[in-house]
Amino acid sequence: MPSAEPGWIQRLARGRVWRSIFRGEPPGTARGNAQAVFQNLWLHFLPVKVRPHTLRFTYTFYLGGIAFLLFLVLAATGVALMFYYVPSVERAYHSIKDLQFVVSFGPLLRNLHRWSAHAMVVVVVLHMARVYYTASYKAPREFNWVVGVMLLLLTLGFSFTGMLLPWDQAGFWAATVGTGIVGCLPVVGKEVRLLLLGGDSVGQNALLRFYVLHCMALPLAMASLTATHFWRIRKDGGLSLPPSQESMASEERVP
Amino acid sequence: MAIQDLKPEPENTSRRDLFATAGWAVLSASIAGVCGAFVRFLSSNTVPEALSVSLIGRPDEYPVGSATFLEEHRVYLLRDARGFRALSAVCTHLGCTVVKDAARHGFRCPCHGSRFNEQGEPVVGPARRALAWHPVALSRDGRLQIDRGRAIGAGHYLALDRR
Amino acid sequence: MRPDSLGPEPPDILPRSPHKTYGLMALVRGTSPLVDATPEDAVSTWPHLLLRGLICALVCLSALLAAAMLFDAPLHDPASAAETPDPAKAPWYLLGLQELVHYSAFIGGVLAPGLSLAGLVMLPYLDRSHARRPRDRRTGICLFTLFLLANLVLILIGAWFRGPGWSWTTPWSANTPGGRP
Ligand code: HEM
Ligand code: FES
Repeated sequence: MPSAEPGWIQRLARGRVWRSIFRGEPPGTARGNAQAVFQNLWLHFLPVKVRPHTLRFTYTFYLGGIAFLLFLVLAATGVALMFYYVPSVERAYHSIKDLQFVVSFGPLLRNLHRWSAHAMVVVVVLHMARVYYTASYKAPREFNWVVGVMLLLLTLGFSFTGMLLPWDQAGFWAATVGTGIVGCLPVVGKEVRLLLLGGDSVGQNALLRFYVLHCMALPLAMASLTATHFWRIRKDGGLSLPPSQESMASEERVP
Repeated sequence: MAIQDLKPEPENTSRRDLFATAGWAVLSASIAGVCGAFVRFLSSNTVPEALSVSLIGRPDEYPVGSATFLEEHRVYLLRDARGFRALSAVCTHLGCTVVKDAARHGFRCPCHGSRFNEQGEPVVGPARRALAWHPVALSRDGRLQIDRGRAIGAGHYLALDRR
Repeated sequence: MRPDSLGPEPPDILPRSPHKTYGLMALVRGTSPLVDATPEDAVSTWPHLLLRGLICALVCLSALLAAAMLFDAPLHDPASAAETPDPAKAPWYLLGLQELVHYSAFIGGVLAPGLSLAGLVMLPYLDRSHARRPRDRRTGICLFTLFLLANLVLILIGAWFRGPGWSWTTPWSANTPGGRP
């Protein structure tokens, strides 16, 4: 319903600046809604239309989306923490103390980072359970389940490498025992342990390696696998439907 | 150009297949080589380590019957009637530091509950191997010296009285 | 011939061809030939999905922010190889592994997690039935639930029933420190 007097939003949306950023019709019409999605770099991997059923909270509990949100929060707060954190055995612990007691908003950022990390482990596991119970791993979604398992491993990898960084007793011994377990792998155990630690025990080399994994290698892997995960959802015909509505969905559909 | 010209001849096909296979093989081998080189790059050739031989003071600083934890070496120096011995405090299960168990005359590990007797042999828990015995010797100026880089069999004491 | 019950002939919008068995009957407004449904019964992603996502994100962010303001992340003593804390508890999500490793480093630390992981990866290729209704997949649901429960029980044992030296204890006994978050 067009109002007689255009509000400030409408006036803004008609302005030249706005239209230089967002081309196409403003949302509101069918075409505008469609363009809001497919003309946007960050949204264009989404289909323009979705089945109402997949929006139901009690089907997905939005767990995958929450996992992704947590990853974004972790990336943002993690980058912030990196401005103060020094990955050296002499300074690591003190840089965390500084964050805790000297830096403005330091405790808030560190707490956010820590609690999001814990929440992410819970949420990813719950998401996996939801996918299992709704039988959403079945053809044609087998491979996306495999991608998902890799995402779960990455999530745990983040937690394991991140734990050592404050260089406190909890992290030190968890890393000692964890790499000890790695050393028990048949054949390659000793070599992989050496690769992880860069030495015989948890020391400066190990701290640096865990740091590089935590802040560089794992985020890159996570970002590319997450992209694969989302792309596959779409190529597998969107989210699975409950059995009662299944007949409507052709398994081969590629929107 | 007639359409037939675009169709590969039978001989051509197999030759092309050969080239294609060879091409993919070379490409895969190069990628594998690069990965191998990277793993090799990551596996350090030098390992940072404290000197394994350390001087730990004069024998009379450790009375008979004492068990001293040498913190920075993660070693227990024990002295009894038979002489000195040095027992590694690194749990043979997954590497935590064992503590002297006063009540049971042995050692126990806080991590997963392994217990070792006085000789360092595993008694209960997940650890299967005995704690390492390190050589104890007297330096020329009469100080005790341990070598954490070497493990010797159980039962090797440094007896002072005999000399 | 046209039966009388259909009423008078419709006006000729498009002249009917005598060679065809069909013709244009009426013009209606709509986006789909289906009655009361858009094509494929779908709604547009903006605003339906994205607004829900936004609300969900805001709720989660508020919860996180509240947690971060109320509870401080732990920081223990500085690392020291000389002394292992007793009990040395791993973070909660590794407590199940710690409990398993307490029985055997190889079986508990390598074999059991390795087999679980292999099972998880291969699950969609092992379970090839197309059955999707819960009542048609009772065995699978039972097995998977057992798997999740086993993990949960191991974690709870590690968190509440293990004390110094990883010996048995109870959450209500005095010597049980909380698991390390
Ligand atoms: C970092 C971790 C992960 C993120 C960010 C993520 C994200 C998502 C998102 C946003 C969805 C859309 C539906 C929903 O929200 O539930 C989804 C669906 C899916 N996920 Fe994940 N996921 C992760 C881990 C996993 C894991 C561990 C598995 C299984 C082992 C998995 C398997 C799947 C499958 C098969 C679907 C399609 C479900 C359907 O069609 O109903 N994902 N994921
Ligand atoms: S590390 Fe000593 S019992 Fe596991």
